[in-house]
Amino acid sequence: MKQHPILSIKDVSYRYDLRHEDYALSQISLDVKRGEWLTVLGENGSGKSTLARLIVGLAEPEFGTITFNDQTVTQANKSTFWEKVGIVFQNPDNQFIGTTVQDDVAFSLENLNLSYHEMKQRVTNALHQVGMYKLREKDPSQLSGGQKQRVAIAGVLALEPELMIFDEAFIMLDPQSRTRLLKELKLIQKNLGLTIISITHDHNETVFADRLLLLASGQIIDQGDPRTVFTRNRYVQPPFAEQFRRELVQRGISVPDNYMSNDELVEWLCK
Amino acid sequence: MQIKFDQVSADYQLGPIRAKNIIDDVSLQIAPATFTAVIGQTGAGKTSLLKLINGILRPTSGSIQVGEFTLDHSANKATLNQVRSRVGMVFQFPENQLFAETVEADIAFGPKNFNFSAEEVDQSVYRSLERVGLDQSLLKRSPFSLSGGQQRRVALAGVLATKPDILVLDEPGAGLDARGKQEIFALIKKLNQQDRVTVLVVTHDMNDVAIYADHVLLLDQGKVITYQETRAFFSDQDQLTEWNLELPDTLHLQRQIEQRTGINFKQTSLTRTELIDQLIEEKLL
Amino acid sequence: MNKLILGRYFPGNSFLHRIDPRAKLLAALYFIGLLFFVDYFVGFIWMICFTLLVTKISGVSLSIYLKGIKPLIWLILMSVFFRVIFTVGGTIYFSKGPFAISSYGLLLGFFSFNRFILIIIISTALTLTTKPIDLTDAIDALLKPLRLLGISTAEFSLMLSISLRFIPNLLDETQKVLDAQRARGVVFGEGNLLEQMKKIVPLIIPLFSSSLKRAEEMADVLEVRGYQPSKKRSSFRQLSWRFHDTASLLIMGVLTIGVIILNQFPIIEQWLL
Repeated sequence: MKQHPILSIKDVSYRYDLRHEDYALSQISLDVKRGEWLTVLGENGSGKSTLARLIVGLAEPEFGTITFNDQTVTQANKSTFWEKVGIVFQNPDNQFIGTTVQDDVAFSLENLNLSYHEMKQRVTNALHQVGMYKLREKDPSQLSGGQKQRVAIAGVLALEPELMIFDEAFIMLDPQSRTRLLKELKLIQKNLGLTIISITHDHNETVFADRLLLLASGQIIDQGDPRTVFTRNRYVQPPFAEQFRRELVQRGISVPDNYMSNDELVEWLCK
Repeated sequence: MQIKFDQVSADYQLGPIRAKNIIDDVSLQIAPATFTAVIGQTGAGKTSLLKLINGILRPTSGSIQVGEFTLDHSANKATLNQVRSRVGMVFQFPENQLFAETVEADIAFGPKNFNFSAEEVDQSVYRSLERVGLDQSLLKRSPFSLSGGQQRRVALAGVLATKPDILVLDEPGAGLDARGKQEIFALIKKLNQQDRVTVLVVTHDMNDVAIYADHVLLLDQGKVITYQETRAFFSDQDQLTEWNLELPDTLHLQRQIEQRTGINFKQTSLTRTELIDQLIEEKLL
Repeated sequence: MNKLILGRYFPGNSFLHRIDPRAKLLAALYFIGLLFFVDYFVGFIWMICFTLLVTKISGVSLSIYLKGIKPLIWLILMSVFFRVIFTVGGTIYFSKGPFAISSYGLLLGFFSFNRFILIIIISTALTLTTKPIDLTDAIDALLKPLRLLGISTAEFSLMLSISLRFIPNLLDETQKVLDAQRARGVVFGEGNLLEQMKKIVPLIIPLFSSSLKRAEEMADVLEVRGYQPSKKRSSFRQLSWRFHDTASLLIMGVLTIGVIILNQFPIIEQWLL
């Protein structure tokens, strides 16, 4: 039996200004499988953040439909949808609503009108998952950007969501904490069987993706596993190992003519 | 212009919050026309160090020599302002300081404050706009109507317009995509090499350090841990481990290859080209 | 700005720190109200003694409280002065037109001086020992009866707590823009009034634009995190009322009885007037 996609986007178009013809997104169709990590890669102005806004119902498509678990998302039912879907935005400060770490994690739960006991348990769990339990009583001014993003992630995990969306959530972090956080997130995703959509302009993030989708000028250019996509699209900046392989090609050195991961590159160079 | 720190200490003050000795007894000499990457953890004092050079922050003790000016605890406003006219500072997310009605007026703000003549102002506006790679058609536009990347460039142009001899930048690439970041760093490098501007850049990205900087300044809790040439810095594996610093991608690859093959390369590679050259030399390619 | 003690929180674990914020807020408001029912000198001595006791158990030294009064002292003295010269009664020492200095005026002036000082000290004691967020919770709890009238107090409390949460960010942002414009050659605090006003523009506009942006982003966050203004929410922050909280309110009763009794004895007044 074919598994139903958790999220299905069908022929979706959107423009910010109905008086103008320029569409931020035009005729986007996309299925997201349960449990996969989909990275949407695009430059500024490619429409990638619009896509995130549409998925979470902050904007409504002009044409087309978005279905989550076979149910069409509308402005009327989007609030039930938010119990199963969480999004983390770019700016760590502007999404920190509580005055302390644990208050902030509990914010969504308070909105669901959960009992104190239930909240306490979920907040504790979520904070342990992102390694912030010890800092639960700190206020945001005492935290680094990376720690604040962890709190935002805990806020989503506390909802026990099925789908998590990251809208450029890692680009404000320094490379070291970014990589560390992404690695931990990959583990959490595997443990919980979460579905993740990460929207980014950071090519290094693609190494965590099961599937990669290229977006440019509001349209899907290509999609597939990162290896195939980077092999097919030579103008898109890939992760470091592939950049290195391409430079070898430029220097006239005979290298296998397809995408290489870091391990494969080391393997090949040491053969 | 040369920069010389002589036993400098400084406090951090934000509203009612005060942190003692965010810079703690720093002595340091930075040669003219060098490109220094300032690294260290959050709270190490990186931004404060830049502010001291710019005269935004006054030392509590010790003195800083910036060209012919001396900055110490009793430095007066006039001296501080003169230093600021020679030292350009680009803050983190500098697009947040844009305010004027047009791009032109915003870029001209600095030069006017520093009493450039009308002619000099016009000239420097055009020159710096060109420097940052923006089209003149943007001059009459509102800075708030531009894209994030363009705003960053306008802000940078606003600092360059005062023709600084020293440029200090706080994470100029933060939040930009890979291409935007490369362009900004290439621009800074060009200023450094062609116009012999002394550059200090705070960054967290070791790839930027390896590719663009000729010196590295590592700070921790307000103290200088090391100030050395980039290649020497990255060659000192013990030091990198001690301070929990990541390797640049290229060097990381080199170390992986060295470990696998047991060959120790002659040099620490800072760029992809250097690594490929060494791979060829070691007959691995 | 750095000198203002009123409104700041001093972390600590004194008896006063541990009292439930609702009890503290109620008691402070009650105390302030009670001050206006004190008629005579001995009553003020009674209230001063209580205030000194409060500062003692707050674990913060009296000198901090006095520092807190300092920035407001001219304002206080000015209003006391007007009180004195506009009140006539008892022995008149000096008079000119509607103004006079009389023994009665001096006495009332002294009383209002006392009220001012005591109000400041008690409010300071409240904020020094209560986290802003706890105070917000207390305000929320005390406003709850208004919900019966259909006034939604929950939004007000959320607004208050979000504002508190962003004070450090705003400070930080202001400092950054200030520094950035200084680096571009603005010398703040120089020149005539008009010039100084002009220098505010490069400060206000960036702050305004970033606040707007922040507000927009936060609205999105509130929405996707499932916040709906009229919907019932539970609360993760729990306040627990204990015996010493009730006790501290009972103390207010004792204080009131003291004031009622002492209001019968204008001892010093009889001697003075």
